[in-house]
Parts: sequence; structure tokens; C-alpha cells
Amino acid sequence: MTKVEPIVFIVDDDQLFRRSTERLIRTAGLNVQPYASAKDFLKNPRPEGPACLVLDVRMPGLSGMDLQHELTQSGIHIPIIFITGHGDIPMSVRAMKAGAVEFLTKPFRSRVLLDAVRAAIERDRSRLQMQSEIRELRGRYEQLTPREREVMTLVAKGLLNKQAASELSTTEATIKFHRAHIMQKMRAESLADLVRMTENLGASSQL
Amino acid sequence: MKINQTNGGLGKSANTSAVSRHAMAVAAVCLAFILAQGMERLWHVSPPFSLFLLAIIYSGWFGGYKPVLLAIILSVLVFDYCFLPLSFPKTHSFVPKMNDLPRLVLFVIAALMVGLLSAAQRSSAQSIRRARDDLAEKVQELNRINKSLNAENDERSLAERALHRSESYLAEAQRLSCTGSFGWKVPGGEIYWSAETYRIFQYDPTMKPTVELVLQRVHPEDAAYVKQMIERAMQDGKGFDFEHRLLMPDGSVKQLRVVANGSSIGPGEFEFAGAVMDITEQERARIALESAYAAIKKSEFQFRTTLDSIPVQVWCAFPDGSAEFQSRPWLEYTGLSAEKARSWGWKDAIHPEDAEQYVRKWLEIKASQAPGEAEARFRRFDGQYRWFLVRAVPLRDEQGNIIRWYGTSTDVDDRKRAEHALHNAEAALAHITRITTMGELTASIAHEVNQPLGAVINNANACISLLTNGAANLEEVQEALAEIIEGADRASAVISRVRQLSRKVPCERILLDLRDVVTDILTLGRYEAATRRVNIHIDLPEGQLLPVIGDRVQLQQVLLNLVVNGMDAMSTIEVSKRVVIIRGRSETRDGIPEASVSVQDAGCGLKPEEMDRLFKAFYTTKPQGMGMGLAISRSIIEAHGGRLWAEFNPGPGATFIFSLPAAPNAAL
Repeated sequence: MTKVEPIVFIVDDDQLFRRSTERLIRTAGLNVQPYASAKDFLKNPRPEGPACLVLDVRMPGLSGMDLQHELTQSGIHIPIIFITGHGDIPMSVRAMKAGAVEFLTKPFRSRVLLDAVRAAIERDRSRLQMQSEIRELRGRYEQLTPREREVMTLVAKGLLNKQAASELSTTEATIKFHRAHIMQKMRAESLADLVRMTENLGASSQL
Repeated sequence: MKINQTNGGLGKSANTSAVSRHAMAVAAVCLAFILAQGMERLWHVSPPFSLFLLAIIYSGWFGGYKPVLLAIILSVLVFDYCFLPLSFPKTHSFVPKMNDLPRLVLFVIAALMVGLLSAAQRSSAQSIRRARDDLAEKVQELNRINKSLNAENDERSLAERALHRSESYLAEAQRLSCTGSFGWKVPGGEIYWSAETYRIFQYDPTMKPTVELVLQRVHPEDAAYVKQMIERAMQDGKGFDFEHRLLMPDGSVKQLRVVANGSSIGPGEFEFAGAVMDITEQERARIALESAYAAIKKSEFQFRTTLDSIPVQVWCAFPDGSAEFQSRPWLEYTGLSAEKARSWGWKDAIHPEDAEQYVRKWLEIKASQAPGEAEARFRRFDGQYRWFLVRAVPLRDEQGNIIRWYGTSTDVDDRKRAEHALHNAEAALAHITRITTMGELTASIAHEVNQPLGAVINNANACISLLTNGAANLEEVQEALAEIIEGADRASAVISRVRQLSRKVPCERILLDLRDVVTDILTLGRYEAATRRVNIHIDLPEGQLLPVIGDRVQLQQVLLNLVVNGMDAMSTIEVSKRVVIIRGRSETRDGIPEASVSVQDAGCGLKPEEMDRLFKAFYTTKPQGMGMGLAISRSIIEAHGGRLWAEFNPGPGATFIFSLPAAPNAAL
């Protein structure tokens, strides 16, 4: 996986504000891609790599909230920082519930926006990392035999070898044998490591 | 001369010269000779001496005695020489043969007889002709004299007729004017009276007029005076002119005026020529006129007294606008004297601030020649000023010329104050509704301010970090600073617009283009529209709208109210159909150019029964509405001289339109 520069998308219909935000983030050393409307943002391809979206809530045509909804529906996970000229509590709650990372009311301190942007990019970066980790884990998991998957699930639950053997109506030695294979295939260094992997796999399957 | 001309032929023949008459005689004889010769040669007849007789008769008739003698001599010689047989054929001789001698003698005798006879005949005919000519001349002369006599006669009778006519005119004039004439010689005592004089004195025209006759008719009370006047006139012979009364036999009294001029006609002798005038009727008319004048005076006095006594300020002015009089209430109110207030003195009572405008208005009314009114503050006697409504009405004569202006001045100070208070209350109410409308737009306004403010902060921070990093990109810094200024300007523009709308400012009428009002409202309403998911569509003409006179803030309020109403009306309908169309138009309605702005929505529309109540105060269809917006809007527009109304759309929704008359002299 090649290292990709993080990018900040800005969607705001107000040109003056859009340009100022762009300049602020650019001078902070980040790549910026501004758009005047939600439609423009959707039309253009997004590069791989960590990114975040600075989004104006109220816009003519497709609004910020509409865009958030659209992205969620399409399974696009990009951290969103909402900004608004006049925020109200119900609106911010709705946005946060829908997965926004931040909800800023204009005028805000530049530090706050930049912090939020950096945090969002970090978050996206770790999300991407986790995504690739899970993809890796899944690959390893695919290599396990069905019996080994059963054993792994039980071990991850914290069952002792003996308990697992009785659960699967087999011998303790067989379980030990499977466990060694599992540890090797999954490249787990300890039981705790394996438990975390199982959790990650379980979470991703739910995503 | 006529006579000579008519008898010219005769005169000429009479005057024919002696030579020609003799020549004629010779010619006649020659002709006779030729004819005789011809006859003898052709037909061999013996020579007829009658031919020569004819020549002699001719010469006598036309030539007279001398030519006839010549003709006779010539004829005898020719006859003798040529026609009688020759006694001695070989010799030329006049001696005839003896047997022809009697023929010759006979011819001579006949020729003499005939010639003399015809010559005598000629001379007598000539003398008769002359006598006739003389007679004709005489007759002509007489005719001429007769004609001139006739003409003279005509002139005289014309003059007589004219004289007669002028006499009858005089008599008629005397009768009509009741003026008789008289002549009087002193001391002879001869008196002449004209017919009218007799009639005035009521005497028979056959009576001989005397001084006694006059005195008989004089009114006893005036008798001494008249006698005295007569005696004085008889003494000094100078003219006189006096009046006295006559007492007539039937007991009636006549007023008489006697006028005469005296002239001297010899030592101690005078002649008076004069007139007596019956002025009874004149006197009566004069008295009637005097009493009528007195009555008018009295009624005028009563009129003025009436005007003075009614508790209304009344005044009267001359056609030039200056005052003739003011009634007592006016004078008492102002404390000015009637003399001081007269003419243009009343202007002193007007408030100095109102004087110019009021006098101008008054002169305008005067020029228009139609009733009119004007308002101004007038000073009371105690120095306090009160508002008055002054109405003026022209009074015209039969020809329609204005002869006076009548007017009243009414104290409208209390009403004026109430109007002012009402106006203030209305302004306050308008302000409150404006603030209320603004309240609904708080979010939008905050956004409109925060947006540029946020940009300013972002840019400022970008500048700081650009400058702190050392490797300063000055171009970028410059751009950022320019945008900082832009943002700050935008924010301050919004704030000042909001301040305008929320401030309690007095009405300020200026010349403005309604397009600017639309733009103002768009600034505040755009974000609100975005929030409410409403699409605002602007439809303005290329050029400017007809300029109007109005208060920008108040008109903004009206338009804002209409736009917010339109957006409210669409809150329940599908987002894609939420459209507000703002149209600006210049048009002419009923001949008056005007500018209008309409706001069309696609909302729930209006029910027909709502139309009437729509603009009433406290009528609302919104749960949280006050019901003042449209009522206030309408009162604002009507105060601008315009109209605000609603119309149904062909499709869904309603359209609200306001129109204002174009500013004078601002037609495009």
C-alpha cells in the first residue's frame, strides 16, 4: 500500500468563505480541494488516502445534511466537519448522530477548525489502516479450515482447551493442535492478540 | 355747338366757296354740251336746248346768282356756236342765220327766266334755313334755363323737408325729454314758447305767452323767488339757471328747471333763448336711487355685522389676491386691526416657516380660478401659532369674470395634532411589525453576518501562519488581506441594512429605483430562502424601473413581508415546487406611469372569501402570525400614493403586487 497525501474537501456555496477556508487549511500544510456545491463534490472522483470534508450545512440545492445522507447511503465513509452560520442544537445533534466528527458555528476560531481537520484526517487514516488490517485478517481467516474457525471462535470466547474439546466432542490434544495452526495462520503472537483479531473481524462483518 | 353740328351739311353748302360754285356751273354746262352732242350724233335729233336749261337750273339752285349768269352766258354761246346752222360755213362765227335767231332769242329768254327763278328759289330757301337754325338755338337755350331752375327748385324743397324734419325731431325730442324752449325779448316783452313749453305749463297753444302766465303756474311758496329771478334777468340781461316748482290746476306739483342765455340786441335791449325742463321724474328717480343706495349700505352693514357675529373666520379678497376685509373673528384671533390686515397685511399673521408656501399656494388657487384650499399656521393675538385650513371660492359676474374671492379660515390645530399622533402611532406600529419580521429572519441575518466574518477570521489566521512560517508568500498574504476587507465590507453592509430596518427612523422620501429595494431584500432573504428550501427567481427589466418617490426602509419592509409570506405559504408543499418569483415592471395604468413589484408564490393560495379580509388588521392564517403584516404594508403603500393588492394565480399560489406612481418629470 503506497503512502497517499491526505486531502481536505471543502463544500461551501459562499465563495468568499470557501476561499478563506481553503487558504487557512492550505497554509496549515494540507492539500485542499474546494467545491461550490454538493453536486460538484459528488461528480468528481476522490483519491484514495485519508481525507475529510468541511461542509456547509445550508446551501441552495443539495444541502450539507442531504450530502451527508447521500454519502452514508452510498457507503462512503469520509469524516465530515459541519460548519454553519447559525447552528441550532437539534440540527447539530442530528448531524453528530449521522456520524459527523465536528459541528462548528461561524465564526469559529481557526485553531478549532484546523484541529478538527487534523483529527478527522487522523481518524480517517486509522480507519483506512484498520480497514486494510481487517482486509489482511480476513485473508488469513479465509485460510483457516472450518474446524479451525470453530476452534478459534471458542478460544476467542475465552474457553479452555478442555472446555472447547468437550464442546466440539474431541480431545484436548486435537484442540491444542488446531490452536497452534490457528496462531500460525493468523500470525497472532498471543492469545490476547487473537482475541482482538476475532473482535475486529466480528466488527467488520457487522459493518 | 349742337345746332351747328346737326345742320353742318347745309352750312357747308352755304359756305361753299364762290370758285367752286362757278366751277360747278361750268361743269354743268359742259355736261349738257357733251350730252347734246352725243344725242345729235347718235340719234340725229335736233339739239335739245332743254339740256342746257337743266344745267342752268342746277347752277342756279346750287350756285346762286353769279354762277347762273355764267352758266346762261356759256350755254347761249355754246348753243349758238355748235348747234345752230352756220350762216357762213367756212368761217367761225357766232352770227346765226336769220331764221335761227328767234330760237336763239327764245333760248336766251328761257335761260334767263329759269336761271333767275332757280337762283331766287335758292336764296329764299337759304334764308328760311337760317331762320330755323336761329329758332332751334333759342329753344335749346330756354331748355337749359328751365333745367337749372328745376334743379334749384328741387334743392329748395329738399332743404325745406329737412328743416321740417329737424323741427319735428326737435319737437319730438322736446316732448320725450320734457324740455320746452322759449324766447323772450326785454323790454318788449315778446315771448315765444315751443309746443312742449305749452304742454309743461298746461296752457292752450293758442294763448299768447306772458310773464304773468308763467307766474300763475308757479308754486306759491316759490313765487317770490321766481319773481326775483325774473326781475334780475330783466335788469342785467344775463343768463340764468334755477329750479322751482309749479302748482298745476289739478293740484299736482311739478319740478321745473329753467335755463337761458341772454344776448344784447340793442342799447338796453336783450333777448333770452332758453329751455324749461320738467325734471319731476328725474327728481323722483334721484330720490329713489338715493334711498336704494341707503338700503344697500344698510344691507351691507347688516351683512358685515352678520359675518362678524358668526363664529367663523371669513374674509374677502380682490381678484388680485389682496384682502378687502376680514370678519371680526379673524381680526380678534390674530389681534390685527382691520386696517393692518387689509391688502397684504394679513401675511404678517402667518408662521414664517409656512408663509412662502402658503402665499404661493394662494396665488396658485387664484390663477386656477377654481375653489381651493391651503393650510398654514396663523399667529394668535397671544403669539401662539395654530394650524388653519383656509378655503377660497371665487365670486363671478355675469360674464364669468372673477370679481371677488370669499373664504373661510378654520382652526384645524386639534385635528392636525391628532393626525400627527396617529401618524406617529402608525410609524411605531410599522416599526414593531418590521422588527417582528426581522425576528423571523434572525437566523438568516446571523448567517449573513457570520459568513463574511468567518472568512475574515480564516484569512487573518492564514496570514499569521503565512508570515510566521518565514518563507512568506507575500502575494498570498496580499490576496488574503484584500479578501479580509471584502468580508468586512460585506458584514458591515448587512449590519447597516439590518440597522436601517430595525431603527425607528422618521419617514424619508427620496427618489429611488425599486430594483434597489429588490436587491436589498435579496441580501436578507436569500439565506432564509435556502434554509426553507425555496428558490427565489428574480425577473427585472434590462433598464431601470420608473423612478418613484419613497421611503427605502418602508418599501423594504413591504417587500420583505410579501416575500416571507410567500415562503410561509409554501412550507407544506414539495421542495421542488417551492418557487418565489419577484418581478419588477414599469407600466402605465389609467394614463399614469407607475412602477410595480409583484411577488408570486406557488403555495397554498387564497380562498376567494379571504381576499377582503386579507389586508385587515389581526387577520392571519399563520399560527404564530400577528396579522399585522399586510395591513401595515398596505397602509405604507397607500401613504406613498400607491396600491397593494392580491391576485389569484392561473396555477397554484397567489401573487401580491404593489405599484407606486412614477416620480413627476421622471418619465423614461
